[in-house]
Amino acid sequence: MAKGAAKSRRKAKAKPPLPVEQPSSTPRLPAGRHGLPREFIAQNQRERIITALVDTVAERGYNNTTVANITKAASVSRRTFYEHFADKEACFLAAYEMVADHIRDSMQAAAGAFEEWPQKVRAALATMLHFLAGEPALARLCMIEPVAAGGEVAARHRVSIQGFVEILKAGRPEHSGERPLPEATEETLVGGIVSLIAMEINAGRAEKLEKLLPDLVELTLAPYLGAEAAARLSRSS
Amino acid sequence: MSDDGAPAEEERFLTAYDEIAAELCDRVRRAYDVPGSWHDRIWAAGWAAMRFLQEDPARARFFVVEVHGAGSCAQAHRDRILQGFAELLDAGRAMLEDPASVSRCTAEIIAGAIHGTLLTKIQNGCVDRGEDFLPELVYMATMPYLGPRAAEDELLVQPLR
Repeated sequence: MAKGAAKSRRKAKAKPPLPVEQPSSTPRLPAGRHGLPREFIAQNQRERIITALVDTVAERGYNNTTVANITKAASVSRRTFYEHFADKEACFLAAYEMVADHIRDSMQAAAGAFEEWPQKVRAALATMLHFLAGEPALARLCMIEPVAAGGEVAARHRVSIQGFVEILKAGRPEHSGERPLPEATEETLVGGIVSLIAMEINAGRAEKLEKLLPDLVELTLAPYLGAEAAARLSRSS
Repeated sequence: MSDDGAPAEEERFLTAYDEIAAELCDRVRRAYDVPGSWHDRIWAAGWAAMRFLQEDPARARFFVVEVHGAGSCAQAHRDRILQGFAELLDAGRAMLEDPASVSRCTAEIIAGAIHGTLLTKIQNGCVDRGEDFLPELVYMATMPYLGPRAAEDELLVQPLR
């Protein structure tokens, strides 16, 4: 496991549920004939490889990570790696999808607990920040590395971000201005949120992400509700 | 290795990146530093940045898109540039009755939002139509300081061709 990632995890106060099995709970398979079903072995190996990728990417960055780095960290052979994934990008996409799906489901569940749109937005943002703050290695994996990786990974990331754009678009009926909001309002807001989170992670402040919540809520709600209402809601608990 | 620990390949990238950044920042700063209201100066800075990006699409792609894949030092350099632009936006707090009612973080979010929009536009090859989306960026930049209603007036500004 990457030292940085391990240290970050120790510091985390409240750990949200994990979408990826962590090394401590993913036992190494005993050598030789162990009598375990092939399907279980395959699943165990796949999770080990994904876990190894998460830690290796956290330590080296996506572009500097090689398949050899991953197989070494996972203690699996190159052949085993290629039985599960076509290449590094496919492995990264599998890890990314697990994390992104978990964040999306958590945000939707948090938003679903409220009737009013502003509270839905606040709950969704709070849930995302809480998860990312508790899991700095996964935060880097899903907020920094996809843009660095480019190609299909970056494209998948853009699709994933669209999920939050849709939550925001549901707030358009709340807008009481004389003119309709610009078409790109939601994309711009989400771009700003993602960018600020990425800056904080790059600066080594992933664990403090939850402190951004009031500012993010205020800026996000202001175009729809007006400055005063947005400020008031951003400070509500 | 560079002073900030970047490997040789990244160091070469950073040298080129910093040269472009210096020119862009100089042009934006000169546009912003003219007499006038903060609001007018933000427009001037926005135009200066947009023209810079449109002049040379390959340079724009290198500066805005490729920096993301150039390593952690490059991203730290990019973040410093964004902090510089956030300074210009944060000066908008002087427009407010209570400047403390808006945090510095707001300017950083807006700078990031603008950067994110430009990233998408350049990736999609749309930066040559920057005149069309600049009013939306200025709306976003001024909204926390002028208020959403006043900022909506920016959307009525006709593109200059």
